[in-house]
Amino acid sequence: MSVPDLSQIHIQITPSGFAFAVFAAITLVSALMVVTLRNLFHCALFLGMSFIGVAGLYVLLNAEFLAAAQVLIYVGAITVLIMLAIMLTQRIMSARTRRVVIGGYLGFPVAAGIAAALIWGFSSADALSPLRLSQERADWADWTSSLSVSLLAPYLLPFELASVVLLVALVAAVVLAVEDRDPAHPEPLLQRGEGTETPSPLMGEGRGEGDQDAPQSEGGGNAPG
Amino acid sequence: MPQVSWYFSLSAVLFAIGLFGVFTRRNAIGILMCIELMLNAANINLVAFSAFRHQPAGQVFAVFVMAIAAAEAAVGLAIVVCLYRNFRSINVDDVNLLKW
Repeated sequence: MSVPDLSQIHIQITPSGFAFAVFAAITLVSALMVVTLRNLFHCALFLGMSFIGVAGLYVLLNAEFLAAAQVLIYVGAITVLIMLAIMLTQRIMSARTRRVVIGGYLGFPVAAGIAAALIWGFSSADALSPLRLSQERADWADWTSSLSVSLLAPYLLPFELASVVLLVALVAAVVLAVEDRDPAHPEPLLQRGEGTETPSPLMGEGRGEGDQDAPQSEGGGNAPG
Repeated sequence: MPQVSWYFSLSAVLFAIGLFGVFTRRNAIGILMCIELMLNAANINLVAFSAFRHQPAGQVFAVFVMAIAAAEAAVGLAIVVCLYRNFRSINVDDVNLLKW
């Protein structure tokens, strides 16, 4: 894979370039760990690490508000949400996931090809004249204030729509995840061979009594029919 | 100083890593994590354009992407929990009721 600016990285090591290298390394190595590790809980931890690296890149790009929002939303909320979902659905320490072999053989060339095409397409972006990062570092207040002004003046309608979308999505998440004790459907929707012979101990202990009652009532209902 | 193509290359590589994960993962939560990686790659692109062009619109849309990503994670993980309740498995290969 041809990284176009590899020579310039070695030539000029400025403090911002060094910080970029550090944050990029954190982001990419953690992302590789997310993709390749077998234990899903470790994947979630490395996902939070990758988000922290991206937050550092936002600071380098004069986007301090986005860096704070990244830490709060991604590292603080989404990673914890993913960890809670892993704890609810898996045996935590032995959650070894399998991966598709054919997907690995097919996915790596496709992903590498897309990355090479994107890098090749972006390699000429330095020649564009208006693309110049502002040198002065003290203008972060201007960036945050201009972000807030543009959020509330020209993009007010999308902003309000985003809040409505968030509200609807969170209500939908609660509706989906709440456990319905409906007596009409006491049994799981489908019992596969793999699913029935390996019930999770985490969910099995919590719902053992309910699950024992459920097949009996379902069997009684099915017997006359 | 980091050039703009550095950020683009980084986001391209991050996007490709996420795409590779989506291809190879069989766990639904793993696929969701890789989708979050890809959304972050898009966000890096947006913020890089915003910073290098001195326009705050890119940051505004990065904020929107974050909001949509949070909604997507909440709904996706709720679906995963619901899936696990019904199938006792969150492998996407086991969920093929609507697949012909």
